[in-house]
Amino acid sequence: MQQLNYAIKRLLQMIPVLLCVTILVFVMMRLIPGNPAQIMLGEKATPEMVAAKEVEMGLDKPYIVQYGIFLRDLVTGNLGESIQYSIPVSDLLGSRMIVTVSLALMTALFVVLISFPLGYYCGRHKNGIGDNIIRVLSLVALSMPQFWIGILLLLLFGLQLGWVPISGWGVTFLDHVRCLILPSITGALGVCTLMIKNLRGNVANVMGMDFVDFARSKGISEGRVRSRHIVKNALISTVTLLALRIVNLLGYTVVIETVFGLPGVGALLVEAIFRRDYAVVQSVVVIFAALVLIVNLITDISYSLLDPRVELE
Amino acid sequence: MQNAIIMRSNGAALIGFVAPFFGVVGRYPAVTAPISAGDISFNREERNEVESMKKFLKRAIVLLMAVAMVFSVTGCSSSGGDTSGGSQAATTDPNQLVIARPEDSDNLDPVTQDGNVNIWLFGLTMEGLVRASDDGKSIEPWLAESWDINPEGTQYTFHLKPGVKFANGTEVTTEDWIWSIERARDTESSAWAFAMEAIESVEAPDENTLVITLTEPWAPILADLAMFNASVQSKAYYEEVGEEAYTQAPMGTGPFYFAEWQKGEYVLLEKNTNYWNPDEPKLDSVKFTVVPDDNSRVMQLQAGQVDAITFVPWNRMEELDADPDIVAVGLPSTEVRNMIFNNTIEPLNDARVRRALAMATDRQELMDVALYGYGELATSFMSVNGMYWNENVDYPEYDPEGAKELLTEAGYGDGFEITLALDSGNTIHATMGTLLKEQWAEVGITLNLETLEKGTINERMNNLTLDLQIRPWTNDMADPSQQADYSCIYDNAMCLMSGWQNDEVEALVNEAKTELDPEKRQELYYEIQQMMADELPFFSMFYIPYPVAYRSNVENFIQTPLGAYRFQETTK
Repeated sequence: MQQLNYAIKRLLQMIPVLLCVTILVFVMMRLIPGNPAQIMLGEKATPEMVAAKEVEMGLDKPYIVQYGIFLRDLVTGNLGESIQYSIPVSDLLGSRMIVTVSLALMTALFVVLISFPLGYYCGRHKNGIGDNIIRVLSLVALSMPQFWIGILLLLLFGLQLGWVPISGWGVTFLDHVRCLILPSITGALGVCTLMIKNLRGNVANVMGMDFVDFARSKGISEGRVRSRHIVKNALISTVTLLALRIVNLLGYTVVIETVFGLPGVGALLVEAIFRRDYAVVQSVVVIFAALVLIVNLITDISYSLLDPRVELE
Repeated sequence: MQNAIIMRSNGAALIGFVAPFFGVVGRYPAVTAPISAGDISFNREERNEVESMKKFLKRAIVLLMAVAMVFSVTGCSSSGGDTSGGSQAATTDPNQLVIARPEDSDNLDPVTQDGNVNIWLFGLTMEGLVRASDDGKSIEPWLAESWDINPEGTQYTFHLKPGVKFANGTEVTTEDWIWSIERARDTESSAWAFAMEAIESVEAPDENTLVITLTEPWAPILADLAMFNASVQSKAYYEEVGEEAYTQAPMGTGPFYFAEWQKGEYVLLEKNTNYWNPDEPKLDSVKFTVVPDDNSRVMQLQAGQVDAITFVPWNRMEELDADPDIVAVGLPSTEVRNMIFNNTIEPLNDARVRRALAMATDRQELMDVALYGYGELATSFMSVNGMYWNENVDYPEYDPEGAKELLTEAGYGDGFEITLALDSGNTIHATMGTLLKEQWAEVGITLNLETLEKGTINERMNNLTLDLQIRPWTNDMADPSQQADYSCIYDNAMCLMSGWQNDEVEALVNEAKTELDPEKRQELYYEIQQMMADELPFFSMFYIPYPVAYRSNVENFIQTPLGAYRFQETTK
């Protein structure tokens, strides 16, 4: 009940936030110089043709009217029409959303596979040699630009070893999985450092707690102490952190999808910004914003479910 | 590459701007961290712990190995156990040609579209009465087998090839021809309607004859009719699917047809089984994939994941060509890379100053450094791979001393300061700009470089508020009339956005369009080219080929200088 009230309150709070986002993205797109009609018509267009195109695209109307139309369409679930492709934005987004969400999920999987064992190890052996090596390496991974890591991975696993496709999305399900491996690892490396650091601290902390000593003194086997008492308690804030990082990953998809040629929402956004495809940019940003808000909400609620000590207000 | 990085940073900045905003607004419950009680450890526990840790690590290693094995197995199965080393053999379908290009198409209707991303595909899917030859220097019969011209040159009677069908199997009728050409002429939003302006009427006295009547004698008419927008398209199909859907998959008679278009991913062309030449095409399909990142495109070709790539970065051409499995070539194009002078500001409104800037430019150095030696030094504003190109134009050559004299004569002996606008992400232009800064400094000119986003450049270009800019020109037809119109006639985009105006040249350009005698036309165009070289409203620096690379098993890869792909005979 407490969670439900909280969720409703938070959902209502989202409305003004999303409204601010629509204003921000609308204004920002129009602040960047460059006329979509001109960009569309290219080098050979005469000023008359550009003017005619503007009328056709509705760009001759005052900004406030354009914004009104955008809001009205948004509320009725209509994302508008892409300037570049002349088809509804929702048609463009459908298949691309699948790519981006798959990428985010697979990245999360790799984050878990890489950072949980390493973080646990570091926590158990705080300041040991292994701990130090892992911490230095993870710091190096964090410091390298992602697109560069991506290119290096491509050179090794794509070109030299030929294990995975260089880029693209493929046709079959297996293709998709193989195409996602390198982009996911690239995305995961940037997040792992933080996760390892967090888990390391938590594990070290929990191990020093009285209830752990108590569990051991009761004669509970070490494996059980680890899984029931240490890991479970250490993971609470780590899981929250993971959820938030995954949301942040939506931003990284812009880089990763471009390097790996994945036809996802991030790549679409980049393309749309360059083409000044207002409707697409506006829709994608609003959708990303809504996703961020919703994941945050779910995280907060699940946090209180995981740890009864947390109170939701 | 540079381009891609900029793209990313722009996109990321936007997200980066919005995302933290929520971080602040969203309220997280406070994390109640357990209080640390210091490091209390038990010796006997320590041993247990080491044991359990070992077990844990063992399990983790086994798991990781399993994952690695799954990857390598799936990897091997697809590369077919190929052992040729670094450069894997192509794994694509042997009857499908896959070409990776940096940008997607945006509208496939030959009449209403407006960019090379679309135009280049029409060579595979659309056909007209006549077509430009593979070398782009003449017009040859195509769906019209022959034609007669009346003595005044105002009426063309085309004799059509019988039995031509659209890709959907329906017969091409004269009604389709009339509708197609009239739509090309009458669609106001079409960027190509200018090419059909001279057509007064299109009639069909019988089912194999088409009579086109012109408003006046019009020399470029055959080249006009060879353009993609004049190709025959199915009226019935257009009416059935409607204008919107037609932009997604138009219907022509070419060797391939538009089968599928996944936006931002690929355009798939399938073999037209109703093609009038039963022996062609050799391929079953052609797939144009979109790979914006230069490095990814190159690596995909090296790995054999695609058969060909376009817009190869110049710095990778030599390396790729050295690979025995890959051919990297600069295919002849109509591109001219121009330095546009703003003729409406001082001191660029003085032809002597414009000439001096050209003479102060060591173009060979620019080409060697920025284009890795690919290209040719331009000697006329007209494309080298087009009709009536004059090879004997007296064009300004590198001569810094002469440039200084000209500047002194024009009253700028002490030099002046001027700004070159560079389009962000374009490393070639950035390199050229850096070199120019040095070269022009030798004649006393201070060149400032200003990097702007392309949309901004276009906008400021239109307002004539930039000093200098480098931009490419490409032809859309074999006849020079289009290039001459855009370069010399003010009303057509202000003479390539230079703001220059010259009645004498305009009169000659108009005369050349109605002069039917090829020899006299040639004289006119030769004269125009020399006048443009003397006046130099913009400085044509280079003729630049199309940088293309393909796997060496691909044969008969043809792209005409106008950009159209011709894969009738292509195999792999």
